[in-house]
Amino acid sequence: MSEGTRPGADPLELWRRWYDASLEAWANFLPGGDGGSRMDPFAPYRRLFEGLQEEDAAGPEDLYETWLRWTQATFRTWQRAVETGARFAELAAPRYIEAAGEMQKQMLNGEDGFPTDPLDFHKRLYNATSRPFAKLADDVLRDEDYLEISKRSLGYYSVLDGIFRRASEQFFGNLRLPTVSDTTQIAGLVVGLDDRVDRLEEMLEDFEERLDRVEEKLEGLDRIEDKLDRLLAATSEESA
Amino acid sequence: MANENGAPADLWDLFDKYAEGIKTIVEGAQADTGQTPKEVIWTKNKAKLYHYQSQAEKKHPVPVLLIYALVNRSYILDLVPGNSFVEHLLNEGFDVYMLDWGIPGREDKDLSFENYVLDYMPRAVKKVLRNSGAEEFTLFGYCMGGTMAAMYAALFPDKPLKNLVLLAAPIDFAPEKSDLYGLWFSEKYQDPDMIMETFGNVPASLAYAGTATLRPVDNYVGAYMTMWDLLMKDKLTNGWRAMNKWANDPVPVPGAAFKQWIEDFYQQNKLVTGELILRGRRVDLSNIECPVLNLAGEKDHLVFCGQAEATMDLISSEDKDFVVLDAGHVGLVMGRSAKKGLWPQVSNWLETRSG
Repeated sequence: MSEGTRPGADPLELWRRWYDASLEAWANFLPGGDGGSRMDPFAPYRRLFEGLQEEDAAGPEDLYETWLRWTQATFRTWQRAVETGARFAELAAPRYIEAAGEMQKQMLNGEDGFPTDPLDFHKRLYNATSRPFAKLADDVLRDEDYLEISKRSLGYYSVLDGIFRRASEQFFGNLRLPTVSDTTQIAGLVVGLDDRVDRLEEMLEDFEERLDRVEEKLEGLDRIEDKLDRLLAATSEESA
Repeated sequence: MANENGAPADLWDLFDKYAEGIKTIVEGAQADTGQTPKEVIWTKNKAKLYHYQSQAEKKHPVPVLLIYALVNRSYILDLVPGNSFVEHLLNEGFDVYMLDWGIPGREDKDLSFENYVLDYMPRAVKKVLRNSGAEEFTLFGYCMGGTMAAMYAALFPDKPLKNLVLLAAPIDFAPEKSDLYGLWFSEKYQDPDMIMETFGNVPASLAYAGTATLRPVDNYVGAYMTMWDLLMKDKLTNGWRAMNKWANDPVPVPGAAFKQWIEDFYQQNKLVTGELILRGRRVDLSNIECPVLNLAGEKDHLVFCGQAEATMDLISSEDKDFVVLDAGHVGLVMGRSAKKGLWPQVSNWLETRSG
């Protein structure tokens, strides 16, 4: 694409601009989005167009050339993916070697010889590979790239989930059908009522307890009154 | 029947075992859990307060109230007959109650630790005392339930709380002590607001993945390798089935409580710094003066010993014990190691303090 081309005149340029704009918009829409540092899920397509542009703005001359350019463009993408994945391969390689060594021990050098029973085979395979693969999983789970990807994936998922949820709420709402938010609202009212009943019960229980204490005190007063009566009776008998 | 290699001798038997194995993998293991007879003596929203019934003679007048986490189901404490911590306490002559949080619905997304510690727990305590006729009680908290029990004890340190037992209760959430969770839940990688806005509550599947992914090979492959092995040898027990059922039976976590758990505990470690405020009340662990038994598992990969041990320096109790048992997070309360380790440890400690 030549620099002087008007936007919109060339479909490739149009596509590229639309793509860049929409990617940026999506990236900014996502939580914590900064646009520039986002993962590029359409990288292969991007590479294709970049590859085409590098050669000639006029576009491919024949089918073979188109295919060739597509291959070169996508190859570069895959190469980049491999480079990114090299870190994973770096982590995985020693664990695979460890697992392979252990497998050899478990399968061939064991006292019972090579396992003929399928269950025994799988057990030995698991015993040989579980420890190194657990270590590999642990390494990956601590890896910053993995954690970054997980965070972003959850972000993408939450955006999509939100969109579908709102759309389905609206759709069923238009059909006058009860939705999840309707049932949640009703359940919320029931929970609120339950809470009030519980508070009332608590107040009644507290009142009952206080009443018990008052009764105890009254009983005490009765006992004092009895004693006083007996004292009075005794004194009057004495004086008489 | 199985031959000496563990392979079934009979073809139909083999098919039956494959069928059971596949059913377990697809549908999850089935077992009758939480079988100890109990009576519901109070409910609030989804929460239920159980009073366990027993034929055994009650030897100790101080009742025990069990509190479990918001993340999984509380029946881990009463798994199956013969493998139940509740049953053990009853047999030892204790009066046992358990506060089960239930399964929160979407309408419960705003429930936070304020609600649980300041509304639900004091209310349940009153009910326990009323029902038992006792003036004091022992509070037992497991996992996140232990953290909640510690918060309650700090906010209500005086009578009626007589003893506090904390089992695998995380108190110190410093990243260097909380390993993978510390990393995953750091501000850099975890945004609880996003989860709360999207889902309301943390979905049960996400809560499960958060735990299972800590040890993916063991949880996603190893558990089923063990199952096939035991199945083929006719050794698949009801205990294994119950355990597997529990492990695959998570519950959603209320969004607000999850947000607090991540931000106030994992990201800011407020319980240790003394900055945790619940409804305007500061949670100061140094207020705890009652006898405390603090237990942790040496092989626990969810709550590390260091996270639990930190409690000992933060509380003011003179009568306090920290015990590390040779078990993992779940092995602490169920299975052979629990029967020899935790169960007698707790009942012996309580026996002398429940008069």
